Amino acid sequence: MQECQAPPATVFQVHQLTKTYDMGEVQVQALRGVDLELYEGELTVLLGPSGSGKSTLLNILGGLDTPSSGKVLYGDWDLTRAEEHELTQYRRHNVGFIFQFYNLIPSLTSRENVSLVTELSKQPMKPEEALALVHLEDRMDHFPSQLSGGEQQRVAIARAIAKRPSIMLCDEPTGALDIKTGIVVLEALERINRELGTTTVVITHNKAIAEMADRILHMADGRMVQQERNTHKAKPNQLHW
Amino acid sequence: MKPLDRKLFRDIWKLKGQVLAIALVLAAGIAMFVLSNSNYDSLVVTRANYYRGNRFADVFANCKRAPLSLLEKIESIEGVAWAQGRIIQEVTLDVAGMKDPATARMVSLKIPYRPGLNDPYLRAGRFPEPEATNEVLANEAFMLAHGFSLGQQVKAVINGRSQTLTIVGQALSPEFIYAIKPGSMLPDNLRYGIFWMNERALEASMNMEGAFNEVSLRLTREALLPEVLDRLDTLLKPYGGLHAHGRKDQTSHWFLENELMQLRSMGFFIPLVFFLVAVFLLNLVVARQIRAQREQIAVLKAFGYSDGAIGLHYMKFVMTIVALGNLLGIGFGAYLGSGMVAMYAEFFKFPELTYILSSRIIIGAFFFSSLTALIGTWSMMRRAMRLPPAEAMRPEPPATYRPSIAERLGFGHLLPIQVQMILRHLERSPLRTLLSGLGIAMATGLLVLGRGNIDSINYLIRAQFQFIQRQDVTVTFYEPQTQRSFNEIHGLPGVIHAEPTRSVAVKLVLANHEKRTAVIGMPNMPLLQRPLDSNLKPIPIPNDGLMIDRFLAKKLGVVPGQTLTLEVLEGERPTLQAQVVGLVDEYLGTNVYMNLASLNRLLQEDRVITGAYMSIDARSRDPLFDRLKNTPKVAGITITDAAVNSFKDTVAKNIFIMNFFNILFSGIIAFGVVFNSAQMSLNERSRDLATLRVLGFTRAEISAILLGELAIITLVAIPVGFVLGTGLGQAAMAGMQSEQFRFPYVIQPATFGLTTLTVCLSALISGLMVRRKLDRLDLMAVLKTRE
Repeated sequence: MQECQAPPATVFQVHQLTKTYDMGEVQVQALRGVDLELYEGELTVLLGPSGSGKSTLLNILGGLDTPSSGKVLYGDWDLTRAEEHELTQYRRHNVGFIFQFYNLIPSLTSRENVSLVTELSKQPMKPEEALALVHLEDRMDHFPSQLSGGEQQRVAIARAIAKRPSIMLCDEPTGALDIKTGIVVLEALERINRELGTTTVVITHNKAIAEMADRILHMADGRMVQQERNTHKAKPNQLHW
Repeated sequence: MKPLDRKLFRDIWKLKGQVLAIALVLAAGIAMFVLSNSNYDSLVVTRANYYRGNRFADVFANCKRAPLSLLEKIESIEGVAWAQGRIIQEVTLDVAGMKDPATARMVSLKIPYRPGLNDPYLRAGRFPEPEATNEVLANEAFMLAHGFSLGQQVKAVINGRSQTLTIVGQALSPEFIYAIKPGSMLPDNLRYGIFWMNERALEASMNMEGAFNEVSLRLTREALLPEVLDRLDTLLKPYGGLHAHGRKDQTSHWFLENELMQLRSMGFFIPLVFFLVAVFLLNLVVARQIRAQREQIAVLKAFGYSDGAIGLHYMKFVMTIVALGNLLGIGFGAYLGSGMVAMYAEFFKFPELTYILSSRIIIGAFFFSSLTALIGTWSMMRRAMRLPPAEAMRPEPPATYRPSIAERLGFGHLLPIQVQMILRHLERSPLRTLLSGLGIAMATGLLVLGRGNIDSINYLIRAQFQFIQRQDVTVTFYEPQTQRSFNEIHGLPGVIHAEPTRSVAVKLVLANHEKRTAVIGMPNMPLLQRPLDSNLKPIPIPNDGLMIDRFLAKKLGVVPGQTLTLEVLEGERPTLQAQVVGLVDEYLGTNVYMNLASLNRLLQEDRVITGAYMSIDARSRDPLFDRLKNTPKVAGITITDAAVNSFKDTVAKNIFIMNFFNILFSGIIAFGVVFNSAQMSLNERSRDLATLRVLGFTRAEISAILLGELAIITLVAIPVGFVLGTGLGQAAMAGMQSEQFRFPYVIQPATFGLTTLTVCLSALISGLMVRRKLDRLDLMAVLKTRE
């Protein structure tokens, strides 16, 4: 069957990426020459222990940080040569971020947190529509302080997808949640990936989550040590940790 | 150094911007406190030394001519230690090279010199020689104004005869610290001088041998001033005595005292405003610091630090800022204070002026600023002390917000989300929002207060010299003259219009109120010196009755329709009755007007005048002044322009300095408040703002959210500041109303404009400084941390 389909388009091409941080008198090599390709519609899980460089890689892909050397092509646009304001525009229109600690704006309701982003976008969903996708229709006018952690993270997902980003970057999205709530959140991510076909990268040190990925990447000590294609993709509700 | 103290210094270093801003606000207040109080002390001590050293008299009285033998009777009044008779006379001068007529006060001096009351202090030169009849001492201010050196000759018309005087000494006097010509409001050293002349010579010129026309008294410590004044008045009455008065009513002393009172009130009220703002800022910073260091406090307590040690730690934080503010403020205040005292020395002509900064002031500054700071932050420190360690270990619960007032009123949906964020944030900590606003309002208020004073003075000058005193020249005669003298000067070439005036010294009495002043007789509808109502509209003078100044009427408790008793203080000194028929509004002096003919009738005299108001042709000014200077009857010539200019000169210098500090200090307050509020918002919301940046908001967009909050506070606070400043200004003006000056409270629209500009500018500068930090926000670090 696979041979009949066109090969998936490449969203990111990463070539020999390095990143060195100057931490006062010590230099920390976070990335030591990473090569990577990410394909359209894929859900990729990036595994690795703390300090392996996965967050640094994600930040560079998201246009939050610039590498010390190497190349990152988004389509045929070179992120590493972009100006600050170009990166802002890139984040504004193309990237959806999800963080471990949700990072909602506490002074805005769920709906407003989402519309904060949709107001900036070119062809956004309606905030209500995005919140419905994560099953939060009845929590739209609540402030973050009135929501549980799982609910807050789902609002964050709705906020990330509402602009119809071409890539969704998730940094430990279940890191602050218990397993039950974590699974609800992963279900929302899986559904978005499946229904909207949004390229999704999830970084985690929770190996269990890797079972729901199309592709699993392993990082250690600033290098990509292993890449595997997951042939037995699991549903989130089948995961255990 | 203990580790906790090391933490203290690092904490302070980390907050250096805010710490400095608060210290500056505090320093501004302390500088004002030190400046005003040290100047006050310096002037009081200097004046006391001067008065003592030169034996400044306690009581003064004038009369027409009294025999020297009367002095013995005066000295026998209980409480009088020393009575000294002098001859004092205003004369017209003709100064070479100066077209304007000048006036000098001739004061008799015992030669050879022996210590007396009101001794001049010889600054340069020598006393007149006993035999020389034309040698004089001149006051230094007059010499300097003219650039005279010793040996300079000046022509004076004494008792109708022109005499050439030689200045042989340059002198100062406690009696003429302010040398003000009678009837003027401010010193004009070019046109008014004090000349001390050998008593014998002056006696001869004035035909006053064996007589005096002024008496000064020194009192014993037990003396009762009112009784002495009464007895002295009684003794002098037969000799044409004018009212005796104490130091309180001596012109120079009165002006100096006024200046001192202003310093006094400046040294209390304005520093207080600054202290309050500084305390609010301290409270803000300490509160934030304790919130951010909850976990650290918990750990310290878990390790066994006592509540007291924690409280002391934050108290040290506050006290370090207070100490920094004191250091800056006391240093700056002392620097400004010594500079200003030098200015006072220049202005007042004290023989010696030492700058005194007493430890009392320094301790006072430190004590009051520490006290307000500790009171203001006490509740915060107590919160840190009471925090149970286990609770403090847990992060603070997430911020709770609720719909803003705009939404509760139902139009929230009309506002952009960014604006809603700002409004909800402002409403979340209402007290802080309120206090930030109040701080900015105070800065605005201080500016309006300062500028309002200037506007009022300008208005007073305009009203007084364009609407009330429209004459170019006021001429006064030595003695009451007939209409013919008026016609003579009216007929002089260059006189366009002239109006006669009759001024008579009186004591107005109503029940137990009394007031010494002059009744001025003038034509029914004068064109030059005009009585006006409060809208600056001229009021015609009725054929009969008194028109009395509103301020004076209030003081006497008299209303139109009532009858006043007039005790005339010259000639036969009759006691008369006259009805008050109307009120006039004036800003200088307390004048009483009456129709000229009616006044002459009341005094049972012919058509007598004592002076004239004239408008003149500017082209004939010089020859006209020449003629007037050489008219023996003419005792004094007052030029309105010169009066206005001297007023402006004196006031302008003060205004410039006042304005400068006003803008500087208000700017510091506005800057301190906005910078701290912005910094505080940035600390609290850096996570939100970083999130927005990650979501694709530009720097400008997140700056707008942060600074928008401050813009709203500033824009709401400015009008509040207008109200505050206007209120304060009115209160301050009400306190400044005196018989000499009554300032109308006026604010020009430009004042509001300038104020808005100053406040917005300092807000903008502090906003931009915080914005720079926003640009350097570490996005990744912020995202990784939990709130």
